[in-house]
Parts: sequence; structure tokens; C-alpha cells
Amino acid sequence: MISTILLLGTILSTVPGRLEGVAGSVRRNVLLPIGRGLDRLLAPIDRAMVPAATAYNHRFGRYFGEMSGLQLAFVAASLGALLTAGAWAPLVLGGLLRTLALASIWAIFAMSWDIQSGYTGYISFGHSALSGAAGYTMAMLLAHVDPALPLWITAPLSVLAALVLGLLIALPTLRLEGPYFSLITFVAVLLFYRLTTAFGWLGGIPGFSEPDVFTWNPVVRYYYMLVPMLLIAAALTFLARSNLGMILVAIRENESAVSAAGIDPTKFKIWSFVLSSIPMGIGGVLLVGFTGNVDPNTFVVADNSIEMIAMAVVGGMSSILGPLGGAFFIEIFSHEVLHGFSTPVRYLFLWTLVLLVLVFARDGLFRRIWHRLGDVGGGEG
Amino acid sequence: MSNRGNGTRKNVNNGNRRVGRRALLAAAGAGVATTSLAGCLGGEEGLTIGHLAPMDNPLGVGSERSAQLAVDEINDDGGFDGGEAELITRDTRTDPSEAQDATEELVQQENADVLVGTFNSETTQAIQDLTAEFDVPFLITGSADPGLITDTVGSDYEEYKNIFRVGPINSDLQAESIADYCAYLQDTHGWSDVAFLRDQAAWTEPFGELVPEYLPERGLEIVHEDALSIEIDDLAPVVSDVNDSGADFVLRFFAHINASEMLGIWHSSEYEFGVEGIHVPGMHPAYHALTEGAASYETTSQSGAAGVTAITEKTQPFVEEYASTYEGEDPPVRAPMYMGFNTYDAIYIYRDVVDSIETTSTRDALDDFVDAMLEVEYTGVVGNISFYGRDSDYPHDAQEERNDDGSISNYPMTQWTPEGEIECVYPEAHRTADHQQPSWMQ
Repeated sequence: MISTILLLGTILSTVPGRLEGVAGSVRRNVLLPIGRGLDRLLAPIDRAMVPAATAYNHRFGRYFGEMSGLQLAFVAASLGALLTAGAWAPLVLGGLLRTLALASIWAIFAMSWDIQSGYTGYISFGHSALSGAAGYTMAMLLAHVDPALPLWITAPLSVLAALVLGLLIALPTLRLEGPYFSLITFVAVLLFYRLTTAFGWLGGIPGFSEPDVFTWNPVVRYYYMLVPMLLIAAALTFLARSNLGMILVAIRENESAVSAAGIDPTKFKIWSFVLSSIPMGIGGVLLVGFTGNVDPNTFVVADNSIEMIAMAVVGGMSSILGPLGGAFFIEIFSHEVLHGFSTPVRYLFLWTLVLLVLVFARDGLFRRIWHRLGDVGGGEG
Repeated sequence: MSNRGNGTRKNVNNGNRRVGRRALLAAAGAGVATTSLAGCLGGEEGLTIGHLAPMDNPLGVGSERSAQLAVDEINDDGGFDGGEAELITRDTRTDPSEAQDATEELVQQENADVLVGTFNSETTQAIQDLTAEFDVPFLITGSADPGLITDTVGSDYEEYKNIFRVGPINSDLQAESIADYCAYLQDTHGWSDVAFLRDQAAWTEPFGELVPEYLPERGLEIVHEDALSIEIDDLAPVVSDVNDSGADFVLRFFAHINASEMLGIWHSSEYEFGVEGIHVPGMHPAYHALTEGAASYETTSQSGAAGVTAITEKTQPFVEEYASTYEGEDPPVRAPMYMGFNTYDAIYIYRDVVDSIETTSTRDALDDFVDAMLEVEYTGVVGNISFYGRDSDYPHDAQEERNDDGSISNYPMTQWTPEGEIECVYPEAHRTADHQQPSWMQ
């Protein structure tokens, strides 16, 4: 018996070493040659795009970050693909436009989470409460005040409600650090969830069906979701690259150093809540316009907050565009690739994927791709 | 995937607005059309039936199996106007948003010609606008809230004329039927004091309004009343309240709440009251075994009467076919739950209507479809089915059947026996056994 255990122990102790050996060998013999091949293939594109990239860097680089030729090509191609999806997506798959529209909303959520949690390092588990505040405000205005209220009244009030809730959550968290901050945000979403079912006038489990969808037309709906998403992405990227973003990152790296430099971290943490709550509110309004139904499952459940984090992590935290990519990746993976599997199986695959990314590509898939593109032709990433 | 795309449909001119929207959608769906066109060439015209149900619930499983049974039988028997149907089921998870996702997929991706199903009324309500927008005939087979009809077809007929309820009869009518049943209990056992409990959900609101009105009219008195949160996790205080009220029986309407715990306490304490009304989990064919006998003497109303009685000449053949087809699979194997009976009938009714209007493109021929549906006089497995007309209180809703004395006869009541059998105890026409009081009260 003892000898068996010893034998097993010996085998097990050698397995990790062997695995590393295998991984190293795969890297040397498969991945590196593929990488070199890709480099040779992509280098001409990079070179061709250098003049455009130089012009861009000269004009916009300091606002939105500098790019290599290939990175610019990647951004331009992605943007082009998104803007023309109304024409090509239906040719690829029947429901792809719907998935892309949904991904646009989730991209807003993931980016909003990122500007706060990804940049400051204060991980929020309660962001769905913010979109919930917007959604519920809109639904209750229509259900309890006047069903004919126009969008230009309900939407700003809903975004304002998200902002107010964001600040309400912010207040007790300012003196807290690390896990305590996360716990408060988590409790906030649990409280909100119970609130929605505790009183009849908050709609209970079925919620409110009063709000109308913006449109059922898949093409028009997609652009209703895409355009605000792109504007928010541009605005958040700009802010993240500004001094404000730098201070938020500095808070993450060393908060006491920020204080020592004479900057009040509390003020900037409040700013991060503001920056995050407003787009969360806009995303909430868009989600109302997408589903036409405001209920705890769509807007509030803690799972939604975790999903936003998953998107940001898969894409690459503290990069704004990474979470955007992560949202599209996860939504397409869940609704198109895993289409046909039952909901539990779909989520099983999805969370396994998130786990794999966390273990093997902790900085996120899109950040990896981004830096890899920057490395082609020796460009700067 | 449907074997026909949007672009292959004939467009019927229903007015400028609709044609404009269709044209736009057709453009958006052009890709679907091209990819699926190959499937239409040379083949006979087929159709797609979209089925929506909570598939983590035996009720949804039973409904899907019944739908598949009907589709297979009809496909083997000449099809739908000569075309074969494909059944596509999507899981609604009793979640309004999930149901919307699923419906949109069925309508836009799969180009379903008809939608059948949905269980809880909140889910059904969430998808009605969508079905109306795309002119998809929608046959409700699981939800009872009258508002599903009165707030849609009843308030804007042109917009919502695609919606019909095949069954069950709506909660207003169910309330009347159950009030008559309570009068029967009073006649049989002398039970006159009632503890009235219900889910806090859309489908029970008519009961909340009507039962307190109907019971006193029949000489019964409500001595305790409560609407329980559907998230309740401790039923012990509820049972205790019922017992303290001195009620002869508890009349409860539970679809979301699982009352197994309540039944366990009731049995172990031998409380002196009967357990009556509607309990959807109690309709599961294996429920008695699952509760280890705690369900004994419990009753529940359910369309189809769990298949234990020959409501029509079709009921028993259907139940036998169901049991033999799904033998050896997970429950419910003996019979589907009530929604399955309604779904099975709905698909046969759809076949008859398609045959009579001679097209399977029911989305494009909606007016013809509606006219034909209003003419339906169909003998199904749950009884004789016909629909209320446009000018009635419940347009497009399943009509109730009535006995000579005016009482409703197509909402039968079943009771679990101590031996684990189900008996139909009401109405008299379908009765397989008399209603039993709990043994400790006899």
C-alpha cells in the first residue's frame, strides 16, 4: 500500500514538470512557427498602414492612445465590420444581428464596470444594481406615473437614478478597502433584488411589461444599440487615457502614494463611480428598449454583475476596449456557438472558458491580441 | 432550421404599414432566405411549429412530448395541408426575458409558422406583443390569466388577432367551476368554512376577486384568506394559520408554490381539514410517490383530468399512446400534465385550420386563419373545443362547456388516493370515484 502511494506520489510529482515540458515543446515547435508565419503575413499590412497610423497618432494619439499600423488596421476593420453588420450579419446567421445588438448593450456594461473596477482595482460585484436602477425607474415612471411619457423624459431620469444609486453605494464604500468594498457592492445588489420582490408595486418576479421595445426590426434595433455603445467606448477610452484615468490606475497601484502626492483619492473614487454609473444607466435604458420587460432576472440578479466581470476579464481588465471585445466574444460564444445547448450547459461551457482565460491568459484575450499585433514588424504596442 | 425562409413567403397585402415592415424584414432576412432556399426546391411545402415551455419542469417536458406525438401522428397521416411539420422547442425557464429571447429566435431565425405553449401567465404576457408584431398565430396552452386575452385581443383586436387560447379555460371561468365544486363538497361532506390561499401571481388574481364573491352565494364562508409570495420557503406557519381558522377545507391556488411541505405537515399532524383547489406540482403523475404518500387526499383541478377518465373518445387512446411512446423515460410517463393535453389538441386544431384554408403560410394568411379558427368545433382529448368570437368578453378564448344545470364541465377535479392512484371526482359526468375525506376525518 505504502509503495503504491509512493509510486503515485512520484508520478504525480513528475507530471507538472512533464506538462511544462510538453507545453514548452508545443510552444517551440507549433506556436512559434505559426507566430513567425503570421508575422510574415501581417508585416506588409502593418507597413502599408504605417502612414495612416502616423497621421492618426499625430492627431489623436495623445487622446486615445497611439497605435501601430496593424493595430490601426485591426481597429478600423472591427469598426467597419460593426458598422456594416446590418448588411452582412443576416447573410451569415439568422439571429446574429440580435446577438450583436445584445452584445452592444453588454459591452456598455462591461466597459462601465472596467472604468471603475478595472482601473481603480476596487472590484464591484454589484454593477447590475445600477442598470437595474435605470430600468426600474423607467418602468415605474411608465407604470405608475403616465404610460405615455416620452423617452426624452424617462431616459434622462433613468440615467439620473443610476447615478444617484451609484453615489449612494459609493458613500459607505469610500472608507473601505479590498474585500469590504466588494462585499458592500454585493450586498447592494442582493438588497435590490429582494426589494424588487418584497413589494407588489415593484413588480415582483414578472416585473413590468409596460415599457415598449424601441423597435422589433432587427436592423434598426441593432443600430439603436451600436451607436450609443461606440460613443460610450470613445468617451471612456478618452477619459481612461486622460490624467483622470492615470490617477485611477495610480489608486489601484498605491493609494497611499496618491495621497502622499497631495491628490485626494476619495474624490477620484467618487469620480470613478460617476463615470461608471452614467453609462450603466444608458445601458439600462437600452436594455429596456431591447426587451420591453423590466424584471429582476433581466436587470438585477447578481449573475448579471458576475457576467460583466467575466466579460471584462476575458477581454482584458483596465483597457476599456478589451471588455468591449470580451462582451462581443462571450455573447457570440453563448448565443451562436453554443446555440442549441440548454441554458445550464451553455453557462457551464461559458464559465469553464472564463476559468481557462483566468488561468492561462490572465491579462485577457484581447489585450494579448492587441500587444501581439503591436509586436508585428517591431512596432510599439 | 426551417426548410423555408422569409423570402419564400407569399406577401399578402394587409395594408401599407405591414408591407413596408415586411419588406424591411425580408431584406434583413435575405441571407436566411438564400441559405434555406435549397431546402425548399423540389420538396413539398412544410411548416415549422415553435413550441415554448419551461423545460426544467415536467409540465414543459410533458407538453413537448405531447406536441411531438401530435406532429408525428399528423405527419404520418398526410401532414398539414400535405406538408410535413417540424417541431422546434425552446426553453422559456418561466422567465419573461428568456421567453422573449426564445420567441424571437423562433419567429425570426426559425421562421415558425405558429407558436404553441407557454406556461406561466407572466411569460405568456411578455411575448404577446412580439407575436402580434410578426403576425404569428399564437396558441396558448398553459396559461389561465383572463388578462392575456382581455388586455390584448379584447382591447385591440386588429393588432392581437393572432392570439388564441386553446386551454385551459381562463381563471374567471375556473373560479366559477371551482366554486361549484366547493358547493359539491358542502353537499357531500357538510364542509362550509373555507381557508382561501393563493400564489401572488397574475393567474390567481381573478380567484382573489371572484372566489370571495362566489362562495357566499353558494352558502360557504371564507374564514381565512392569504396571498402568499411565490418565493415562500416555510409553509408551516401557513398550515398553522389554516388550522387555527377552523376551516373545513383549504382552497388553495398554487402553481409557483410547491405545497409538498404543507402536505407533509397536514398528514403528520392529521389536521382536520381537506386540501382542495389547484396545485400544479400535484398534477405530476409521480407526485404521490415523490411525496412518499403525503399527497394522499389532495385534490387539484386540471384540464384533461390527468388522463384517468374518458372525457372524450380521444382521451384514453392519447394517454395510452403517450405512455407507450415515452415508457422508460423520465417522468411524467403515464400522462403529460395539463398543458400537454392542451398542446396536443392545439396542434390538431392547427392542422384542421391549415387544411381548411389550404395554406401552411398562416403568418401571411392571418385573416383567413382567424376566420377558420373562429369556426372550429373540435373534439379533442380535453373535451369539445371552440373559441369565443370577436364581440364576446373573451374574444379568441377557449369556451367553457356546461352541463344541463349550467355548471362548467370541462375543468375536472382529480384526487390522489392513499394507494397512489388518481381519481376524477368532479364533475359527475367524468367521475371515476367519489371524493374522499382524509382518513382521520372519516
